[in-house]
Amino acid sequence: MKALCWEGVGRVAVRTVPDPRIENDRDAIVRVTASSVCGSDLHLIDGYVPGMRVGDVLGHEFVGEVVETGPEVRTLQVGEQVVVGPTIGCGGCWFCDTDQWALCDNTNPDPTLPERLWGQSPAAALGSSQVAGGLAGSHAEYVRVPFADYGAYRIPLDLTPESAIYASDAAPTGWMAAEMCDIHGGDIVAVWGAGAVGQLAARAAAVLGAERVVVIDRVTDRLATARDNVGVDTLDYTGVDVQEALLELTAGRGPDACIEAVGMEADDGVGPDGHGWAGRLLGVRPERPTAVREAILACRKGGTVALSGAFAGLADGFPLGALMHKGLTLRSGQQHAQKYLPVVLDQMARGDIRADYLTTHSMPLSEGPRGYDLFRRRADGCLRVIFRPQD
Amino acid sequence: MGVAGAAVGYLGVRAVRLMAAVRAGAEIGVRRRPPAVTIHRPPTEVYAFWRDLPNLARTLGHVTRVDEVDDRRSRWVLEGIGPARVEFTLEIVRDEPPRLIEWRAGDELLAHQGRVEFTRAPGNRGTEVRLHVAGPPGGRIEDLLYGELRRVKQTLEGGEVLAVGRRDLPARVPAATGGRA
Repeated sequence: MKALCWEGVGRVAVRTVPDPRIENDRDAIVRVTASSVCGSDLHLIDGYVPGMRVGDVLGHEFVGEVVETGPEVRTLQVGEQVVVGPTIGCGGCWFCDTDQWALCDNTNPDPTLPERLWGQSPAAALGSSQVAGGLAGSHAEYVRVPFADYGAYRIPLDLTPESAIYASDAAPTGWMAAEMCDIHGGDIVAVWGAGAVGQLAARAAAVLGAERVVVIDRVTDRLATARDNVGVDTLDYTGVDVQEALLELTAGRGPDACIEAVGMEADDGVGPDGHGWAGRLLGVRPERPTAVREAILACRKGGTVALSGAFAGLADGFPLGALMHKGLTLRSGQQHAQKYLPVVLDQMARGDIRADYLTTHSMPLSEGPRGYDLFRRRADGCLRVIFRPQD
Repeated sequence: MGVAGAAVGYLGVRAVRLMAAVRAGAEIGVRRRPPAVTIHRPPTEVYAFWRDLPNLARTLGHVTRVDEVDDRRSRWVLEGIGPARVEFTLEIVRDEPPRLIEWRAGDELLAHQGRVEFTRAPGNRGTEVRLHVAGPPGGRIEDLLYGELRRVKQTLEGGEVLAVGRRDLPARVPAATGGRA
């Protein structure tokens, strides 16, 4: 089959790879009809996440049709249209049992690397590096979904695949970020990043009762999209001082909660190649937590900062002093798809969350490299690209 | 000042940031994990799984065959460790359900004495399983144990040990279409 593979730092390519097959009794094989790009793919492509191997199949946010099920799959039927969450949960460990599915103890086939990096291994995820189990992703004609009863959900009839696809990852990530903010009446929530996750986090914050939500970015068409579709205020940080603007907006208090939806490759005025040869020589690629720093500085005393952007390794210049002396709560984590996917599907079906507008580009999988190029440059109003592997 | 000052400042920030990352990176190292896991099942169930040796053997890697000779002794055949096939007799020397099993295994490469302890974990977390093994110098058997314990945990909790998946790509194959992403 055809699949979009990692080719080394900064490069992807469409290749012919072996078809996946049922390997465990609870696996399902899904024929992928649409698979979205995600900001976290850029971190993988750019070599910020350890454990990428040439040939790894990218993609983790997708919809498709169940074409084969293992003998122990109980709830899924061949022919069903499903949306699948990226993280794999075994359903039986203490973490799955307590609804913290992204922390599943059992699904990473080789936890050596994450245990070395982080002390413990989180759940495996589709289309990531070896650090998350090295399972092949969804930018392919077919994908193997382990523990499919827990990870794959039937798409409600009244939802289009173009909406439902974001119930896989972007919408649950946004929902979890907003939930982590523990929003109370009167709360003002600031969101860094106007990508799909940022916009869906902003919408979730509004649904969960925020008084006012403000989204911060520099990409003007993304900010316009957020204003038009989410009904939020926006700040373009290239034109205003964000700290000052947020203090003005909150009459000196600062936002009650701050959501970071940017991740490790934030704009820091130095740029992605800032560490170039020196970083390579020393064998490090420091992450750029610019938006985390800003969020912590902006947040009101006693407030909450929720990280939904992805980080993998080490970041310097972390404002621990502000965190400590302002008594902030810092929350984070990959989304627990098996907990939040049904919630957002329900929200989408009721019309409280809209996501279809996020797909600005749709193309055959064979154009994958062009799709990522558009997405990376935020060119042509690009917010999200979906690939259609069956075209 | 001006341009030169700005350039020095810029490079200085860059250098500090790189050094901080290198320093922090050095703290991340290879650490030996003790052979202990917490299994989200009650001690009686974990003990029973372990005490049923042919059943246990199906979960462990490398074991191709187990024959129970009597109540206490069993004959094990392993492959994929060392040069070829390894066979040995295992004898259970202490059996205190559902708390402890102690055994002694003879023969060459994998000669060892072992003990597995099951204790109730706090707050409904299940069972703490700790393995203690004394074997010949070289620690080959000890290296295997953490992995084997994980397999037991995966089987008891999730019902299966997840396979890595197909990945038999050559290192380089010509790309159909490709380019910078």
